[in-house]
Amino acid sequence: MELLIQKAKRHDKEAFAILMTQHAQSMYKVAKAILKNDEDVADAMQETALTCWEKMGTLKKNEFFKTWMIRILINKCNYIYRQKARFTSDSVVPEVMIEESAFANAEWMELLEHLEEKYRTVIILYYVEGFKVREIAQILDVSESAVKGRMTAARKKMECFYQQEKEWEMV
Amino acid sequence: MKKYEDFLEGLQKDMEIPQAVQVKFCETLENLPTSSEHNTGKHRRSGRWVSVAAIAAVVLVGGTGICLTNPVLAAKIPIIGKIFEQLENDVSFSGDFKDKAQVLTEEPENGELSDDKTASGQQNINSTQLSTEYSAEDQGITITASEVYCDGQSVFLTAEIHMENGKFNNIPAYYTSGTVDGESTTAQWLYTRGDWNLGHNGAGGELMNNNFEGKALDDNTFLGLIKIDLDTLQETDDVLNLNFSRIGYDDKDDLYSDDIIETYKHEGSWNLSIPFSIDTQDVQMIEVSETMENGCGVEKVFISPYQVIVYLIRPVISYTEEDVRRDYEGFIEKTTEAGESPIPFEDFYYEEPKMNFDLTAFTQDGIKVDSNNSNSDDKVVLAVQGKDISQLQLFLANDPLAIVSLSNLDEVKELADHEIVVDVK
Repeated sequence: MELLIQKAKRHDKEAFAILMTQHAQSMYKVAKAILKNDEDVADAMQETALTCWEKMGTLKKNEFFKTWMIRILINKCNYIYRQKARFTSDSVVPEVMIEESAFANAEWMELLEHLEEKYRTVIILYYVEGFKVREIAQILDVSESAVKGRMTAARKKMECFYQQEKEWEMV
Repeated sequence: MKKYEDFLEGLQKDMEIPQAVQVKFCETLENLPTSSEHNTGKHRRSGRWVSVAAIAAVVLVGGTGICLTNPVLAAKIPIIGKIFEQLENDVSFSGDFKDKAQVLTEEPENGELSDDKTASGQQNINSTQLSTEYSAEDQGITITASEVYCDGQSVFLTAEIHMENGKFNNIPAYYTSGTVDGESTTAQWLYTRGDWNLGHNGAGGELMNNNFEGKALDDNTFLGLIKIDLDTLQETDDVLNLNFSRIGYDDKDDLYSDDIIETYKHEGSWNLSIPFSIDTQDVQMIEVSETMENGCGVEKVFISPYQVIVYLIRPVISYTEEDVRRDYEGFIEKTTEAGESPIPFEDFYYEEPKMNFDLTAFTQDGIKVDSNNSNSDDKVVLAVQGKDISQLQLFLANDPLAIVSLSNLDEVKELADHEIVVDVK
């Protein structure tokens, strides 16, 4: 990946495309944790690719590429999320109806949706993408203690949710 | 799935990216904009969903095509002494250099270098010197300096690099963000290592990201422009000593090697001493000293025919001892709760970060002035690329990524937190 990053920094389109494609899975998971529908996720991924392409030269340490790229992605997701919230009354019909992904029905995704966005993002970054606490703090621009706090809170919320579900099943 | 661990396990499984998302992502990667396209904003969120899943291969810019389509290069007319003419439209810091650059070495019509006096522009320096003084040979590679220009902030030096069987035609080309006749400009790169210093001033540094940007004349000859950024504004004529210790370049057939270094690298010693004078007529430093409410802002702006340098004001984020201690204790409490071993207090805040913000620039005509990779923490370097600049509109945003990728002036105005107008004489 190092070579691809080097070449992408020199504005090699092919290298950049390969690099981004390698991270598409991670990008999708993270974006999906913040945004509900796939059209918004696709917009966020598109915007992220364009920004990364333009800003590749400013990446000072290649080893931080993924951290840097995910931070851009999260900023894009948050922007789209805020835009959606602002125009929520608009009834915009997409050109093509988006078929939600198969995993939308997956139980774990359903469970994840019980968490607020800030907890979902931390869980995805830590458990799915394998970022360290310090890296997540850099990505989200919060303190490490805030990351730890969110993870603890997320864990408690999930435990609470399981407990409730168990009680409902018993009724 | 009733346990938290099961939940996490489920999260970690690969998930299928929906076709529509995948196609839009691939379409974006296939159509990455050049900077000029970015200026028009035509690649920004199209919102278009396509139904075709095919992923076409992205385009690699061919290096050899440039040479074959350039009649001047193909005809092999004298080049040394006129390299700026060959490169000035295609390199990142493009512009008309021919009336401003000093000719160091000139190749006569018979193609042989000689010690004849140069016959070009009025700024020629020390024309009685032999042209070979500006040439260095080692390991079968000859570097011959051609022309030089210095705006006080950077030295722009052109050179011919010659090597038998150099395979220069196989160097991949990269977009350089300009356009000529509607076509995106491209250039090839030779990477250099070594160091540089100024003979009188004493300043210097390593050659790190200083590359010869240019084009292959043929498999054995490369024409390049190297830009050396000086640490401080140079106000007197000086001598640039360049000590190259390595010349390297990529091969477009070897782009996917696991090795991160260039395909071809040649270690050696090539030393050049280049006298240069300072262009004081076409440059200006404009004091600005304007900040946003948070203290971030612009100290001054330097403008030359080829680059704009915006000097930033970035306050250090300072913490009181009490703040740090409180944050540290909270952190320790959380990490202990999570079963992790605590880190020492002195490792908790290991640096004093400076505040970040975003800056983008437009001309008086609303044309974006592209930033260049040579940005540092305290300055932004913009390439003029032949634009007529009588006024600079600088837009600042607190969010470090809010506006830099935008090229539409109205959009930038809406999102920026502060605007500074700089009149250029």
